[in-house]
Amino acid sequence: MTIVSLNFLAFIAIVSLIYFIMPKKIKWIVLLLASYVYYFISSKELTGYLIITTISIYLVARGLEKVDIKQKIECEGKERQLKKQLKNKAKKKKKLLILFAVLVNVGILVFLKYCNFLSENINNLLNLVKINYELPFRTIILPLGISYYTLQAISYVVDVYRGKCKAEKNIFKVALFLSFFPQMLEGPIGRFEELSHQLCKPHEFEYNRVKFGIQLMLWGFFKKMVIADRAGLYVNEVFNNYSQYSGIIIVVAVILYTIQIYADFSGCIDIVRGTSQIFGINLAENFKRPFFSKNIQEFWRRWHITLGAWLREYIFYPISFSKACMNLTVKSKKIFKGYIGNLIPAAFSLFFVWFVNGIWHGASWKYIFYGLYYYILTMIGMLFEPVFKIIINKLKINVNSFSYRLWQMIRTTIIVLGGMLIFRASRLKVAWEIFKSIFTFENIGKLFNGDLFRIGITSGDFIIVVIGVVIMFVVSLLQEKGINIREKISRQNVIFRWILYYGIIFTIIIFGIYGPGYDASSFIYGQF
Amino acid sequence: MEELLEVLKKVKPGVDFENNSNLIDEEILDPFDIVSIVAAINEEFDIQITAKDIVPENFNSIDKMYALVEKLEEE
Amino acid sequence: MKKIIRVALFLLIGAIIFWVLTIIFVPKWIGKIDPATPRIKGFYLEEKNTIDVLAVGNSDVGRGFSPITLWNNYGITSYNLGTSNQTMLLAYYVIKEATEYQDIKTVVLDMDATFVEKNAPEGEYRKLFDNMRWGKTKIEALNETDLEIDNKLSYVLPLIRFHSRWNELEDDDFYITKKYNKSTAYKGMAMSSEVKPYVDKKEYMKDTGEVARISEKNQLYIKKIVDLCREKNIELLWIEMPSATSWSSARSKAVQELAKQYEIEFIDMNYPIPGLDFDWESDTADGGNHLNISGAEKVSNYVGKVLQEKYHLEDHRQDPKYASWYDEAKRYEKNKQLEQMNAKGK
Repeated sequence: MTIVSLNFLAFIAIVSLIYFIMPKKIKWIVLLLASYVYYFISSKELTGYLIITTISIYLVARGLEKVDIKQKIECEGKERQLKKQLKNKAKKKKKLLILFAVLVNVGILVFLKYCNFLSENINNLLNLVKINYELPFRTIILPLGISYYTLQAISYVVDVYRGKCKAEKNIFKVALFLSFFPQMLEGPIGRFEELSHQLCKPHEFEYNRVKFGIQLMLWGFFKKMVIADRAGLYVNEVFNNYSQYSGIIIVVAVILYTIQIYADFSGCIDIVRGTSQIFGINLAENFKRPFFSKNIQEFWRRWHITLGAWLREYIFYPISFSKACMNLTVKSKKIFKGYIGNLIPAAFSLFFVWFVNGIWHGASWKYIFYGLYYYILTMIGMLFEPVFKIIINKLKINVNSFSYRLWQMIRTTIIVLGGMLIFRASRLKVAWEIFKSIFTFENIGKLFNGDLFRIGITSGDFIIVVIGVVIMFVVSLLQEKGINIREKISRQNVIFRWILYYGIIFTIIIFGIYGPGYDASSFIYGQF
Repeated sequence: MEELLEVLKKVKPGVDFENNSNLIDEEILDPFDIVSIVAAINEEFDIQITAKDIVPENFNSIDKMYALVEKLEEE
Repeated sequence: MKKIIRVALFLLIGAIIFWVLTIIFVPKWIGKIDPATPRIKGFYLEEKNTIDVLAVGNSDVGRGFSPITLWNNYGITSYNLGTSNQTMLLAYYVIKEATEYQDIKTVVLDMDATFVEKNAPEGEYRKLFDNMRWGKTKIEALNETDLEIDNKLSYVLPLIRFHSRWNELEDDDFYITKKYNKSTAYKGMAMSSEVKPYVDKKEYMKDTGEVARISEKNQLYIKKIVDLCREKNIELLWIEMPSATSWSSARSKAVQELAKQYEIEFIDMNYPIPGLDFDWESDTADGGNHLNISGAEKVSNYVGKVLQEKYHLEDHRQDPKYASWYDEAKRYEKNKQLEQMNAKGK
């Protein structure tokens, strides 16, 4: 069931009705059942994988807790030496448990999502050394949201391991945490402590909250259906037939793709968060005006926020604080005084962060390269930081001035555009071809001679996209300044509000990209 | 406490550690700073801060960091 | 309580806006060749129980049956609901719907659609359904019809189908009022004045000894039409317009057999008929497929005679209640002359 469909809206309407009617104690069960119904409709027998993951982390989490409890009991009244021994034994047991949980779940994910990629590369390797064996390819359908819920599952069990949160005694509450239906399509990736507590707490119908939720959903539908899907028509035409286009047409395509993916992804998250808000649940934000970022690191703290947070918590910190890396830190600081000393351990940990980021997005070299693209640029930025500082000092540039910050935002945006080119191209080679073809300057004329409007969308469509982007920009600006837009609107007078609501609703109905489209030629009186 | 302040200042000069209690929330310290600070603290106080201790609550202010140091020194 | 009223009011106003937008966005078929919108909407505007004869079928009859000619020559009041690509299924529902609004005495059914097996393209369904009023008949028809676009909802809420017309809206679309003064239909008939002779002197009506096969679906709907007319005490007359491109002896024979079975008169004008002076040189607009105004008048004059003599239809020319028909006849004459002048000039 896709999110942009009447089916989904009907589903939410029915589920929320039932949820609000049911008694407090059962409300969370309604969510659980609804989530599994939703999941089963989408993935049918693949639901089994979700169940396996749920059971595995439930058992491991409780196992970890049991080890801790046993250890505390055993340690009572014992002397220091023995205590230390027992503690180490417990630590080893816990390590095994957590390893088991991670291996099982990452294993499932790798098998389902990456086995063909691995097979392909192994086959290439075998070919290289002239071994006559080929691993077969399988057609695999992925269970819905597996990339998301696997991360969420690992975060739960590691949080229990670290003592950050208690193991949940009720397996069904763990099930709800993983399967809550709004987050299955595109996240956000939640943490157990904040999310589970909200999910299980009963929420009554509250007019304003439900109203805000619906408004957020409307905003999401607007971004996705009016802006993203429209830009996508042009983008698909150019990227699917990239050899026919060059120069400015490609540049426009990359820009439109970035607009598309931002409007699509953030719009989808808005719909998801709006839906959850109806149920009184506040899912984590995934976007915070990313194009106002001044550098790559900031961008990835504002774009797909929950992924960045997950990588930081479960890849960056564990690697940075591993014995190996800590030793490296100490050594490199001793050898390279000052700045470079910090760089080497950072380079080590960051490599893994970006590698995982890349490959999480998809099973191909293109995605790995996507991650490493940001890695390399980040490292270059960090490497040359002292150089930039000197230049800034010499030229007496005011880093707090608007123009400098604007420069930083533009620079970051251009870097992101490059990343998006790689992301959208079908393969790495293709991305390179497309990139090369930008540098044919004879094409600038195409901006003005109307060729732009023959590539999947009309000039009218372009105007709509531009207006849409302007609206998004204004909204972002207001949000950046800390203004809560939905509240501000609710304080205006009725006529203004209603005009606004009707405006956005009918903009979506009229200008949304859906339905078979109106092909006048098929309507013309035909000869028969 | 004095030693801790010195360590912090050496790792990240220019930050007002004495008066700020929102170092993480206000993004004054970024993940790299945390790593450097932890490495320095581990060395200076001969303790092992591990990933499970890396929560905002432990690093938001110098007092919180000192509490963490004390707790780990006891173990 | 107050909140519920607010929400209800919000939804109500929203529904009204949705309704107005629907009227604007639904395509208006006002073109000369198939003026489905004025044809169908005009039908609903006719005064109740003033139409005695209903012509039904596809565009053969849509362009070939002239109610004004029947009026001028015989005083018979008739209406032409021959929409393009009208299948037998659709013809059944057209009759069903029309007879709810008018006390029809005789239905003239063109049998050309007997041998159409394919479903009509979506546009043809829309021409009919988007202009049809909501009621039991429309709902039943939507359920029965094999709609090409698997989205019956878009027939209930046409706005979701036509929303993408936003960049092709024209003045006509905002013409929300009921007066279709720009109507290119004359009591439903579409006037064509081009002359393009049928030159392929192939004897399309040559007897090959074969009898064409009528599909079960079409047999079913023809039977339904027969039953419906019997039930409502309506006389039924089957005709076949001169149509060189879609008719043949085999087909004619098949229909003749069926007509005999149901005891219905079937006039096939593809055979030479005394009293019908049809001429393939001057009477077709597109080389043998459809008639032009000259052909339509000839055919209508002949059919009108049959109706008058055998089907006991009243001559309303002296009845003041029907005075408006004279006005329509004048409009028809005026435009016919203009059209024919234009056609000659080309």
